[in-house]
Amino acid sequence: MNEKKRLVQNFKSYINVSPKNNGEKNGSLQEVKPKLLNGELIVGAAHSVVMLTPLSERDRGRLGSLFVTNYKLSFVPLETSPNDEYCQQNYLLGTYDVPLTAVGAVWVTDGGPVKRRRLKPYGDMPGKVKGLQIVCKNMKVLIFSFANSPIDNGRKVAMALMHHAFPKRHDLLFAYEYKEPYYPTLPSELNMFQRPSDWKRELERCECVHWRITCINGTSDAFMLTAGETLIVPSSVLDYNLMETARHFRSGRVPVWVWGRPEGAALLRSGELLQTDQSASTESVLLEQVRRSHPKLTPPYVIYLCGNSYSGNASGVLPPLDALQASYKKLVELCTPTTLGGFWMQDSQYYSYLDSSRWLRHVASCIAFADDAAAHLADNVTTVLQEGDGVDYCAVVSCLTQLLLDPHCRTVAGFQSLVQKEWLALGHPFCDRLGLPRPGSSKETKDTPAAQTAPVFLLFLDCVWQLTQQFPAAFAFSETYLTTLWDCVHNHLFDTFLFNCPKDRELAVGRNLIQRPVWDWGEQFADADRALFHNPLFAVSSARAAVNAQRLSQTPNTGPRLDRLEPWCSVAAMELWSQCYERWLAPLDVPDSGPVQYQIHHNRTLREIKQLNEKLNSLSILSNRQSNGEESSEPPAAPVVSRFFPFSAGHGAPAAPDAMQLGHIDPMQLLDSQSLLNAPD
Amino acid sequence: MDKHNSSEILNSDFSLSKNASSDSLDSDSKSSSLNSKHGQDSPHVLGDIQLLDNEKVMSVARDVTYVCPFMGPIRGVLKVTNYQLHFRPLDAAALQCTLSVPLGVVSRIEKVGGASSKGENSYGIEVFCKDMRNLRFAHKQENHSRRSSFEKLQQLAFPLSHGLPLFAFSYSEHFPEDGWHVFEPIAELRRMGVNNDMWRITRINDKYEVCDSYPAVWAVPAAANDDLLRSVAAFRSRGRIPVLAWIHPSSQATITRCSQPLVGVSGKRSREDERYIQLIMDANAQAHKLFIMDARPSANAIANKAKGGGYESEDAYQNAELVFLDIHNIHVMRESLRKLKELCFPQIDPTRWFSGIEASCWLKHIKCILAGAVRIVDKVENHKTSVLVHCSDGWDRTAQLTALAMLMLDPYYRTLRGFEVLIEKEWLSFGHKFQLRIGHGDERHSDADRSPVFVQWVDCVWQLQQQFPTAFEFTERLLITIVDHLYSCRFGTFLFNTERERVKEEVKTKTVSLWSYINSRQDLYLNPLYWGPSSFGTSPPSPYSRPQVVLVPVASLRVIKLWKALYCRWNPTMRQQDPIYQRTRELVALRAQLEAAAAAAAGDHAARQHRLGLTPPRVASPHQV
Repeated sequence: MNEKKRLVQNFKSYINVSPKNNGEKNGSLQEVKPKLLNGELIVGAAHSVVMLTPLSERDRGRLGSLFVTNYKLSFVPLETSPNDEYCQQNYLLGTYDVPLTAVGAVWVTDGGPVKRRRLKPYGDMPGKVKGLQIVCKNMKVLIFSFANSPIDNGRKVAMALMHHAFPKRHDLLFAYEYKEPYYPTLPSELNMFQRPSDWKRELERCECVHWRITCINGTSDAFMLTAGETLIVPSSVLDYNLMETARHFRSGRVPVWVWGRPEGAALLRSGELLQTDQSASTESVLLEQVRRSHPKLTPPYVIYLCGNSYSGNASGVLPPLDALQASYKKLVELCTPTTLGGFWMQDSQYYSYLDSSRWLRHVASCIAFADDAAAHLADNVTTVLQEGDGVDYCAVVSCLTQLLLDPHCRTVAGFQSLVQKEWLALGHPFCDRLGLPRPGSSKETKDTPAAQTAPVFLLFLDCVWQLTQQFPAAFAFSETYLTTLWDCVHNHLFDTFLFNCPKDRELAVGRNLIQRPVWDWGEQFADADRALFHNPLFAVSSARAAVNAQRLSQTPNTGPRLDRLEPWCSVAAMELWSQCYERWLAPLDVPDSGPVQYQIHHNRTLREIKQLNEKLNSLSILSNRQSNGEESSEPPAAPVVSRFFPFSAGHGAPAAPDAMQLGHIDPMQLLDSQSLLNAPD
Repeated sequence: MDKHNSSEILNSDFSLSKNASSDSLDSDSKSSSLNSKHGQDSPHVLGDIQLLDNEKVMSVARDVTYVCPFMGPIRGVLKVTNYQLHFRPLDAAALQCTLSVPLGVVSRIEKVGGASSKGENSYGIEVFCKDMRNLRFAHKQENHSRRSSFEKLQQLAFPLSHGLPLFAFSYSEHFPEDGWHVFEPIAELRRMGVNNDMWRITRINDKYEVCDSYPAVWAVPAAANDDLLRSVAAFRSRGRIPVLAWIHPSSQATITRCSQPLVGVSGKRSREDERYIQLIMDANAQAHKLFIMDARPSANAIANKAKGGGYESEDAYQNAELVFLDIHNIHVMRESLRKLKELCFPQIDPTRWFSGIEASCWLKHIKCILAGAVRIVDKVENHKTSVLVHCSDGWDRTAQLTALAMLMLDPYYRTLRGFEVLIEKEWLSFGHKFQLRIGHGDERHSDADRSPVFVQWVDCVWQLQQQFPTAFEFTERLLITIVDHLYSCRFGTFLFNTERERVKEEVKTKTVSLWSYINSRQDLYLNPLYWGPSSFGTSPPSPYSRPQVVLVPVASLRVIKLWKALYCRWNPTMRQQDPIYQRTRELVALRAQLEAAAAAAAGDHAARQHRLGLTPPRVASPHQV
């Protein structure tokens, strides 16, 4: 019941601004300009626009200009406010900017919050546009009123938006226009899985000797068109046999290796078996080869993620993609109320809405499948995941399984490598699932089925988030990292999530697209914001693990250390990912509240520990330097952050927390105190 | 990660070892790696019955099977003492399923199956508990052990129905601190600045003659004389007149509490009552208005007129504004929690989980109470207006609201001791009928007066803790311990209905206070994230302290959560995998070690410098050493 929110000073009422004042203001308003990137052009603008604060009393808002460029929708307020700087800052996007590909649904309103009509891309535009409501793909809601704008401004900006936000051709995306050179600064631990040597590195990391690399998929004999050139298959299988077998699997998706243990068990993913005469026998022949790749010749365990012809539609299996999309739409509806009245109405039946979306059930099913797979792999049983085209739920469950087993995947570089391997190298169709146009000519659409949009990657991120909640010290990254990653999926300036398969990417690169991996976080965020991507508790647990490893004098090279997490898989153990889905709901964004307080507190404590370590070190070497006095003077006052920091809309925080306070602590710095870490054991 | 450790929670572990672990949460400390030393060597204790002071084994049944809903049937020995029901598995591998359940938790006991029952484990007894679980034991028909177990249980679990005393009157363990001194009514009123110009302390109720369910000491408007108080008492249900609960330190806006006025169908008025309410309003110079928050739904308030009760009409009470907070009565709440229990125990049906939460309405009731308290806080804090709170009798919903509003307004109540004071004051001294609502030692399990009103309030406190993780000095562990001992009958704290009864029964001399026990093991309950004002207790104020003075929670179901750690705690698959508090504790402990080491090293260093005849290094900041 926070309707009576403290009014922030810079929010003024413009509803009652008389038209006369408008004329005067227009002159000065023309001055504001959005920040443009190299290659970015303004294609539409409206002035004297009021951006209304969502879920507030109607007449609260800010005056400014609204621009549409070939990259983004940009609102530039007339007067800046210190609150603009409070939230996560992106070098490429301002606080009130949205990349065009992140625009989800656009509605025309009569200027008020209630009456609205959905605009369709390339559909009719009403003669008058008094207001716009934009629901972004990350569930942010933007509401603009053109009541004070010069005549026709609203309509023009709406036309520009509808024209550019839903391009028909892939090469109209801004990534092709962005001329800024890119100098990669990716860490060497990040495995991009683009070349055969990358896969070799992974095979060696996992110490799997019974598997071999084949590059046949890079030749004219390619059978798995949506995967990269490199595949890993049982050593005993000949390329010829693969090509033969591939005919019986959907999209040529024969089982391929993605992860394994030195002890012999491996994780494979494949597409569904086609209903042909010989398909059953070919499958068993191939599974026999898989069995022979196990040193103990243990038969593999097959998990049918979407059920199979034998089991039918058993409960607990993952839904068809259209059902997943429908589920997501209900979730979006629940998380994007546009009026305070709507917000409280949903509140009264919140759990019914949540239940009817079924989203958390799907999340729970994915985690349950991964737990099952992890249990078998931990028992040294090779596990094969099978699903439709083998590019959607296979990727989700395969990634989760590895996160549950392999501590390397829980580091930032390991996680990013995992996404590169499972989602990019093995060809998750991001274009189709995110609703982007497919690269190449648009004529194809007659033969190929219409692309199915579905938030499969979001489902994956949500599952990972659930794991980070159940095991708060096991992952090196924070929920802010996962949320930011989801935001970046819709930022089409980066090529990472822009293609359906590696081949499309290569073709585009041939046409002068600059590859710009999203993993180069320095391209977008300053150190202070990147510091929030790290989980402070992981620093401690990994330092402890390193100390223990030293103490037990384990040889470091024993392949991936198996450290299995056993998650609860019941839907009752799942929570709604509030930071990602509800962060724009201002009534919930209360100062000093929410789980982010843990992170702030942990970061602080870690920093003090680091300082104490430094002090101890300087004392123990009896350094006679009198300069000791400079360090650790007065600790700065604790920052006040509200629930959805760093995504808060800004509730007048007295001071934004500075980078030092939130600074990332390298686990290795904690190793200084290893004797102390040992002590409590 | 810790599935094995976590399954230990299955046994409520009321007394694994006498002092160290007497509540269901002790396996928390075991799973922490900080305390792993203690955790690992506990198995030799696990399973053995640990008797409390003056606890005696009254009945032993061998070859009994505990039908565990999670682990399946387990054979073992069932013992009944005058305090607990104890089950020890025979198989050493099943020892984590040891049960130790205080008999106070038992709500009813039933025989299952008869002499002709066929089938495995179909003949035995079922124990229904107040803490959201049922225990099923199977006996061998031929052993004839069921009868004696059943009869002993029946007698010892419901001593009051069998003319026996509660265990709390036998138990006399000594603790370093006497918890009966935690709450001193006068001291607490002094803390709030009473007496002052506007409010005075009165002992008019010293013999509990004006109101038998109120405490002996009240704070009332200074301008109201004792005669006025007596005439107001005549117009308020059960004599529960408006008295002070809390006063704002700067604005002097107050929260006062009472019962409904005896208006009746005819719309009776009392000039004295009207004048008295005016005096409460006048005691706050900042506002010319008073809000009367009636916790009930307006329909219920109107219906009460037929029973002689009702509500203040705004015509009669000038400058008062009446607000109904729409909180339902004890019967609705009891039914709601019953539905929740069905949902949580024994098995959770994933397909019904969310719809079940919705259908139970439990969270909606929590939201309603939180929203009501937020309205009170808003009036007192932001509008500097005094608020009078009542429901029908003023001991259920009223206590929930005033105690919650005070917790939001006053950081003192968010400290461990302050919280104990809050419960003693708003719940115990103002006569929440714990005996009636819980039914200690009473076999009438379907008594209509039973209701989880206090547990519901504790849930609201938990919601506040969840929303403001740094605002409380204590963690949810304290709340769960309080709920455990709300039923256990080991301590005298929650026995009887009123202060008067407690004085008459000499509870303070004949029983031990729960706060004695809790304060002797405070470390277990302290919140490592706490940034509140008490962190500068003895030492000078640290620059860290940034007291969140007023908490205004969001009363939205998007934020209000089901308290799984309480309601689903018997289900091993619903426990927290890796409690974040433990991780924080580790960090804080590491920092403390380093601080000590740094201090020691700095001392060494200085000593060495001194020996060498050098001047000691300049001490940089007051934080060093």
